[in-house]
Amino acid sequence: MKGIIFNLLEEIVVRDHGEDAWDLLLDRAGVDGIYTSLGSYADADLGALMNATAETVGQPTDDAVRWFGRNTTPLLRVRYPDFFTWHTDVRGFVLSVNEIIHPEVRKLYPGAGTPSFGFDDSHPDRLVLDYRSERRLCMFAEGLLLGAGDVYAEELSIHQPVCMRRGDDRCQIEISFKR
Amino acid sequence: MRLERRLARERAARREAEVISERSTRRLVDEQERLLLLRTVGRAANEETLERALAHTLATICRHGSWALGHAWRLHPDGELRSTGEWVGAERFPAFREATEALTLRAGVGLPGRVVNHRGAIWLRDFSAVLTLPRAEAAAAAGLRTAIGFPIMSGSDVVGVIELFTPRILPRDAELLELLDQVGTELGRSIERQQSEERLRHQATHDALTGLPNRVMIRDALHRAISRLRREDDECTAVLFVDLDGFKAVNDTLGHVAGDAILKDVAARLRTSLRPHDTLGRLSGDEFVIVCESLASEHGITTITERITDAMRPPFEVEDELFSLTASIGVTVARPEREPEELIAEADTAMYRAKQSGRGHTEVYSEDLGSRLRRRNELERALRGAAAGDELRVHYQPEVDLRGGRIVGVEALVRWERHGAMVMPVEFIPLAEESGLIVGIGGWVLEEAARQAQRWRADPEIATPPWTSVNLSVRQLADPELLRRVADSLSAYGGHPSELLLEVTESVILEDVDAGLAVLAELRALGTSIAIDDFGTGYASLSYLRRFPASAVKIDRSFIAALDDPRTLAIVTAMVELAHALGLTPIAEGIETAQQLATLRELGCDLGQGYYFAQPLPADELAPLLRDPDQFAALVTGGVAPVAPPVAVHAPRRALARRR
Repeated sequence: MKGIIFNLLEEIVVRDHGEDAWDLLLDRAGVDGIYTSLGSYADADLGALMNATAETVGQPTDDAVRWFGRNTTPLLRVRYPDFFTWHTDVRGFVLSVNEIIHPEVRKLYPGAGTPSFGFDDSHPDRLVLDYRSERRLCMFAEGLLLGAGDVYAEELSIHQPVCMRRGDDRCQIEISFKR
Repeated sequence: MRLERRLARERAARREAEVISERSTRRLVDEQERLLLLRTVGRAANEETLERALAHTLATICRHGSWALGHAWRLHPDGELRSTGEWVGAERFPAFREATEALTLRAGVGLPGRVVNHRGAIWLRDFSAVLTLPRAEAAAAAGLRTAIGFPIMSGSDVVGVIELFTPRILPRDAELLELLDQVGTELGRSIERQQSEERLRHQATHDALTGLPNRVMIRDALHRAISRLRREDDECTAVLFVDLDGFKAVNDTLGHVAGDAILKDVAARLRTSLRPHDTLGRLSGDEFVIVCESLASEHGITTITERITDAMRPPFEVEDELFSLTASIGVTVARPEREPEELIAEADTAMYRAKQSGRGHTEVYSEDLGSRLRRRNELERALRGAAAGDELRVHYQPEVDLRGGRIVGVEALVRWERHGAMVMPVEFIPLAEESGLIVGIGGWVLEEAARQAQRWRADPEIATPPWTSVNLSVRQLADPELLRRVADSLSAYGGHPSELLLEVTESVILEDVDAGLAVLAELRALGTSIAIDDFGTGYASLSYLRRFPASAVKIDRSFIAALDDPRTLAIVTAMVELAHALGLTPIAEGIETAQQLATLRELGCDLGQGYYFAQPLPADELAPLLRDPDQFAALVTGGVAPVAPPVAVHAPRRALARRR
């Protein structure tokens, strides 16, 4: 996992809950907290931090991961505005992930293991993403998508009819656009 | 508070350091990718075929920039941009592909046309909204939003355009455009190299004059056609060998430039008389070969040969003059067991037969024709051996003064004794002519006759040695050594040129009038006499006859044999009179009966020869006749009453001296 993810989490936690909250999370997770954006760190660190977050706020881990994702997208927009300004809606933005965003991410962070999504964009009101990753971070993806909805001011509903965490061979994230 | 500010400062500093680091990492990665792309394109450009180079390059670029669709155009010398059919990712956009391949663009039109004018890469953002573009509608339907086009440059010329598409709307990336321009230049080098290779290949397989496939390529095409043959097929594959009649004369008369123009015209006419997929090639000179596949048996073949014959019918116009040319066509049908060269040879054999039956004929090859050809080849080999060995003989037939019966000359005739039997001259003389062996054989006859003449001169019992007539063929007259051979054979055996009568047929001047007449004049100048052989059977016009430096004409045996026919008699009468009027001595050939002899004497024909007097004999058998000067006196005067009293016999030289 690239350090930038940890940096983003730190930024959100500090912004919403103050400096001490971050230190508290680090202690609870039992991680050293030295993350620099270009470095690579153990996936388990993120898992531990998310569990600690969930524990702290008294919510399920999935909700905490989704919350993290949703808050991440607007921060990415600040750091990398180009990826967002090229598009006018969530659909266009999401469809560019494989071909534009992830290649660019790999340029910024050599060695980043970005997932590849399969798309079914045949339905005008719906967009279906196939997600396969050892990290099983489909909840983070859900959060990022909700965050994109916030960025483009669109109301979305998301559900996963198929999920690796329920024993399926992949996750299927279905985004419904409300008009 | 101070601590918090310090923390915030530290965090901001770290963030800035990370951004700087990210940027330089990104630049490094970009640079590496560009290098990789250029290197990959460089390698792709070295692919064997242009198609593969393009396909490889398209795939590389699309992968590099995540473009969904890539396509290459070729700018043709006529200024038209047409699809190369090379695509990457087209399976997702079949309708757009179809719309693209149906297009022919020119400079300035459409994305590729704009690239041609701009001579550099162009970025079209949301181009499906640009309604003036020819494919705007197709692009919108395919959901393609951004396009890039860049030129493939060969030197300073645009030779092609590569275009890339994506369904995303992407902002202009100046660095990418610059990179693509480099890619275009790299690819252009490949095109240049391949074009020069193609040119070389074309030169090696095509005839420079007509641009038609040459023998190498015809053989290849035929090879492929043979491999496609199926025995059970109703259809057949035919090989046609087309040879122009009388082209050499045109070429010699008008020169090579005119000849070449005619050959180009012929090539074009042949092309129009064929189906698009028939292979037309030029072997050499005026020889063309055509390979026609999937013909509906004989009918199909006849249709094609008739179309060719028809196409040749309108006169050819060269330098404001009109010429008629015909083509002789030989046809053979391909069989799986035959090699390409064998089929070409068969068609050639058939063409040769066609030529023998006259101009503008078509002959189809048959096994029978083939076996005749083989017999002929066999005979030719044997004749070659005979000429080198000791199988050729010279026999002599007396030429008799029809008024007194004196033998005034002898005609030297070559005989071939093979395995103890005589091969008929009609069998081997034409063969010797065609193969060129006649030059050597004729030279030998000249020498042998001169040697024999020396013996007769030395024979004390022969009071008046005869002159010797020797036949000269067309080939011999074309032999630059002829004059030397004649002079040498005479001087070697002490013969006098005036005692040599050289017989040539009218045809010697038909092929090339001026050259033929020039050689005859030189022979005349040497002191020898010239006789026109087989007079009346050729096509020489009387105007040529006037220029012919001859002193005698030999009236063909066919006229003598038909003397009892009043019309023939009229012709022979005219020939004798014409000869006399032109100062030529008429000599009748093939006198076989007393009646013929009597008639010829009546007509005033000076000399004659034939079985009635003697058949051609070996020298030693002829000697007794020469020793008896009055041998035939009784024949010419007896039996049938002469119409005029015998007059003094001409001495050979006087007989042939021109009376002008």
